[in-house]
Amino acid sequence: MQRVLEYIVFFVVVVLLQALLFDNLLLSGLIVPLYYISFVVLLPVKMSRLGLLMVGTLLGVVMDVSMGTAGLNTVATAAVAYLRPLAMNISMGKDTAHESIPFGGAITPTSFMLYATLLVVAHSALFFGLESLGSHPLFTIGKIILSSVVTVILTIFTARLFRKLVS
Amino acid sequence: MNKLLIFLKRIAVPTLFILVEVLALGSYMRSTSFTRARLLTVANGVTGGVNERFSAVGDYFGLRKENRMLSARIVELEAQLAEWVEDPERVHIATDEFAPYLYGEARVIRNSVFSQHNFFTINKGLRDDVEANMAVLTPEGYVAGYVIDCSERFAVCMSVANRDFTMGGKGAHNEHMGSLSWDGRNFHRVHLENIPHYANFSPGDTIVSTVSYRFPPDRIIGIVEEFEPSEDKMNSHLAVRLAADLSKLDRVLLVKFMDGEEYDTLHSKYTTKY
Repeated sequence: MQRVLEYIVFFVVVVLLQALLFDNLLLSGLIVPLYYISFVVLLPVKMSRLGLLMVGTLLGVVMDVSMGTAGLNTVATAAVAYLRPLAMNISMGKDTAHESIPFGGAITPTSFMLYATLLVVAHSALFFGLESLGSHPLFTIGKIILSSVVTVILTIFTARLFRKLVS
Repeated sequence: MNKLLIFLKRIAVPTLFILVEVLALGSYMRSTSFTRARLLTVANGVTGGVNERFSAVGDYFGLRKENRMLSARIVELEAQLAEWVEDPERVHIATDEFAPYLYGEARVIRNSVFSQHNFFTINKGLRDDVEANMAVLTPEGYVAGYVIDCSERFAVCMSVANRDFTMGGKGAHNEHMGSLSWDGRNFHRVHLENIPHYANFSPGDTIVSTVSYRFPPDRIIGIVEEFEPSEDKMNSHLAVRLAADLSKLDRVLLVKFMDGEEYDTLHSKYTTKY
């Protein structure tokens, strides 16, 4: 069960939510949720490394065009997609053996939160770190932390909704 | 042979990963504000229409405030006009002169303020005679940015809060000039550098635009917040609070300097282009 159609719809929804909602929210300089990364977080457990890398790159390129960042999103998203198996091993270990999506079932909420946090923080750190290129380090670290917190919360909501919809 | 195949298979994905990262990083590092604006122009082809509709909904909530601001502006302009009408001599001179600035209006449909390179998109483009390097002002006449790239129906503008943004600024009271830029942090605050050390400023002074091929002169940029006199007797530095609230851009004025190109060609012959 790869649920290709569901994931295509999910991809479009995530991209539109980021481009039309989260990029226009202008909440605060310290909270800039890069919500779209929750797509990579929720890709099927058994996806191959090549598949992850390709989907991550595609998502990054689409967001780069949408945000006008010319490569920044691709750098961060491809890296997160490539490192996802590692994050999954650290946080969930063998819990994922019988699961198709990395949320619910045998996976405890705590291990999902750790898994999502690892990916989201890595993504935000790469994105905001590269964007500021070392200027205002304290401000950038604050931005990474606060934006990640919001994105992780959004990702957990999305995961619950997504699991309900596909199963 | 078999071992070689296994080895190649094992390094294929990591190699592809490194390739993707190098290409993306290279593209990002090489990109300028112009290439970024180009990408946003492409994206506007897809999401521009939706953004326009979204921003139109938000418009209703600001009507009362907007009306109040517009009447205040009319009073101000009427007062200026009255001065001219009372003095027929001046009107005569004015009509003899060629009007160097052409004005238009547009609406901001997409905005950003929290990135290091902020842009906003307006709902007018090539078909409305919008072109690159037109100045963008708020309805009050405060400096907000300039047009950098246009498509048929939309134009992407570089916000003052963009690390690639520069313009000339001067004290309204003493005409001392400096170059204005943003440090990527607080979108309410810009910096005016390279002011001669003997120029005197104090908090509360108004900073206005100098003539350039993009901006008309004497438009309000902001108010001096901090004045740091130079320690080495070289240049002083000013922190300026922007008059325009960039996070609340809605209706904007577009200004075209009719002789801008001529000015720029002549000017850049003798100076390095900024």
